[in-house]
Amino acid sequence: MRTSYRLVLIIGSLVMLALAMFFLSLLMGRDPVGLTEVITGGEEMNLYRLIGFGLFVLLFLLLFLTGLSGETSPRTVIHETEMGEVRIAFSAVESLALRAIDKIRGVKEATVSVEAESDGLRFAVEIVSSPDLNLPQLTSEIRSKLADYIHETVGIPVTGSTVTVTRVTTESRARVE
Amino acid sequence: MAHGIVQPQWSEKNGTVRIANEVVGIIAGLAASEVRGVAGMSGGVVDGISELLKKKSLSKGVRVEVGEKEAAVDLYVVIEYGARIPDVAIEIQENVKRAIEGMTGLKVVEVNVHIQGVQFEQEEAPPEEEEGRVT
Repeated sequence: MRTSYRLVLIIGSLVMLALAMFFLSLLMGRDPVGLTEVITGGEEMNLYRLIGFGLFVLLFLLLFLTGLSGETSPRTVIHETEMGEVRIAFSAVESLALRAIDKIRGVKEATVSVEAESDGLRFAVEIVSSPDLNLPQLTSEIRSKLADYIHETVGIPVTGSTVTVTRVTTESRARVE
Repeated sequence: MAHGIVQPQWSEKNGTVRIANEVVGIIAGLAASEVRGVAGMSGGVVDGISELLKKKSLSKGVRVEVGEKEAAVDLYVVIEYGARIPDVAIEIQENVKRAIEGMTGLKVVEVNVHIQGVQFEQEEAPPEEEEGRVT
């Protein structure tokens, strides 16, 4: 579940909890924040009513739009076989890709994200490279090895990959974990 | 018939043999785990909680749907690094189907394999010296 989706759900549930507590306090004969006055009071309370209306409409829009958008693409790669489906989680594909890239000489650090397309997988790779390297050659090697490795291991073709060199560093990587 | 209990065809002559969903799940879990390239089964939150409360579940990471004569299985697995996923998945499907059909007589119509993660090789910890059972 995406972080933004979680955040909206948390905000929504907190508002519901606040409303529940308000009704509970009314049941107990108390109104600690004076909300009943806002509801039953005269026109001088209109400003508060307007603020309340705005807040609830905003919350409604947040929940409604989040519900409509949902997860737009499945986070799995699907293989159809004679006996059923094989679903491979994107996280598994990403960790395999990361492992393949990490082994390439000249790559100090890497992050990988994957997206599914109708005819295969597309990767976005960000790397930190060693200095004194031919970067076009390095990125070309990454693309080629990644495509071969993923096709061999996951069984799905790689339709494309974007490799971005975010930094060149002279820091040496630990030789052992 | 109670929910989650199936009655195989071969039980009609001399009485009733009923197989619980849990049993089919255990058969599927064990059959999947023994495939080369499978590092383990991946249970969800419910499996994790139930493992905290009781013994290790043999049907962890297995969802079974059974009818009168047929069964469908969903398996959530973690594979070993270096294994070729399509090959491992097909072997899991075949092994699970063979095991369930052989042991229960149910026809397995679907085995869905969900690859949840990859386990990379770990440095093995040195074996702890076992204490002798007698002094």
